[in-house]
Amino acid sequence: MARPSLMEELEEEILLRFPPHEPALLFRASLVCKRWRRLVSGPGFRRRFRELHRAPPMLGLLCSTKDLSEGSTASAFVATASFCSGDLDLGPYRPLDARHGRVLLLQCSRSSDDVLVVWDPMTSQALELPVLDRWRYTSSSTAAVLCAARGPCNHLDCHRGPFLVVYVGSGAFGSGETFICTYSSDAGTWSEPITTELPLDFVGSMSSVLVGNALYFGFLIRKSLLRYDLESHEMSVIGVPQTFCFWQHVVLDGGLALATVQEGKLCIWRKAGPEVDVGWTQDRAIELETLLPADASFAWPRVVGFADGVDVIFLRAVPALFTIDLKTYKVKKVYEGKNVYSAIPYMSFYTPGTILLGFWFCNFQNE
Amino acid sequence: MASAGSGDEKAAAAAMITLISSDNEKFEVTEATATLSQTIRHMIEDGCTDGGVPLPNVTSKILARVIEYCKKHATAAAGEEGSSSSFSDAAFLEVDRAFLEELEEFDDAFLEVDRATLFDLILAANYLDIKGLLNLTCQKVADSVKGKTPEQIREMYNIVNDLTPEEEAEIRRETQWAFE
Repeated sequence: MARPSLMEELEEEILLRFPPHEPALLFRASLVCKRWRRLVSGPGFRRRFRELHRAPPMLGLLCSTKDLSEGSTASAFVATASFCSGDLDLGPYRPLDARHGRVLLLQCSRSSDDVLVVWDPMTSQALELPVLDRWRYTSSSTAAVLCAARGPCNHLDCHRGPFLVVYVGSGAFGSGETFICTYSSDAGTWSEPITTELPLDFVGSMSSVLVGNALYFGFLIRKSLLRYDLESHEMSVIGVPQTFCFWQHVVLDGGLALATVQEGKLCIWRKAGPEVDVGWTQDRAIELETLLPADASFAWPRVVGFADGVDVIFLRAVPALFTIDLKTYKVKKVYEGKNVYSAIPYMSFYTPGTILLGFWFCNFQNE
Repeated sequence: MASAGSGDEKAAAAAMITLISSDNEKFEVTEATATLSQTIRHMIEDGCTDGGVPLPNVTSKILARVIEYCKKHATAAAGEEGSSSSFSDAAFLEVDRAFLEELEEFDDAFLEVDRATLFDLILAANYLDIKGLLNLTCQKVADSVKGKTPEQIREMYNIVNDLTPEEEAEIRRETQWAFE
């Protein structure tokens, strides 16, 4: 009996239903024949694939780790989707943020200024941003990357478009001055700094969150969040419950929330209202013992990251890193063996014809 | 009594549609079942279903299966509508879950067919424009290539490899870090 063959016009319907969180499947499909190759690499397929699946899957994690005995730090790209094996060392680069298909890295150097690099793992393009003099005098800093299109963009496939990098520096010359500069890829330059006087504080390395039109950055000493409105360019400060040691700001149901570990429980706090001076209410508290697998260690549990759009937090319990789905409480171990202090998800659709983790990445891996 | 009975029969008869397969077999189905197909829904709206709806692209064997799918899903849809008003939230959720579970079991069993039948079902779902069935059957095929090499996929779907070794090498080079 002749083997049944697919009808050409319906092949696309089938290929569209390949699971986005397993990019290797579409890659293999592109090696089947010319027709499939053409089909899955085309712009029409790319658009339909994104529209059908809507939420970009988490392809990997940008993990920063600290060796507890030596105190040395390292960063790696850890694949959460089943495509590449092992961790890919990020060498001199430390991940600061990832959003809308781009990754923001800080290239640390002993001999010269640190450089910010915007990397698109899908096209293998990496852009070094100009260095500002002002950065030299800050005690602590962080930065966020995001798509520059406000409003109409659904952020499903905007990683080739214009972007913004928002840099926050604090503690210059031991003062409370905090400033924000914004780099626009369209302009190719940094904006003039916007400054505000705060009691002396240091911006933390936990990644920022974007809620509506505002970015939130965490400040460690006085336990607060700096809210930066991307439209009005205004800064304001929101206090965080003072009982917190460490926390990760997250987005829940479109609103700002905090995730922290207190007394062996994972606690979620919600902002009681959108106004700056409105406090926090505890939304839930779940015993880690009931949440984590029976064989998990509970050493230094801390929330070290958050995946926006899929409501997943990253919880470290040395030596493992877990993802916890805040809707279903499904827990998955995603990394083991090191003390992860920051986990930034890389979320994007992969369709063949792009150069996932390509030449730029290869080059410094081979250096 | 007799007049009431005939009135009901008339209403029931009016809601029945006759579908005619390519091999000329006739299937009587309710309008609710038939209208899961957008193609048939449009024909009903245009009033061209008198004397039956000929479906020259669908054999009786496949049409019987398609009708089985539509009947089940039409009942489920009607059940959901009915239950939403008559149950408290908790009871509704319970019923809802039971419905979904039953439907899932049905779908799983429905897909236990050979590849040729599965492809015929996809063709029929596409031709009749039954979104749920198209999604279900295409997803089944997509899932079946999991863990398969390109060579195995070609074998399964009767595809000839027309990529030159150079083209294959180029595709692999593009993503050497990700997929090697």
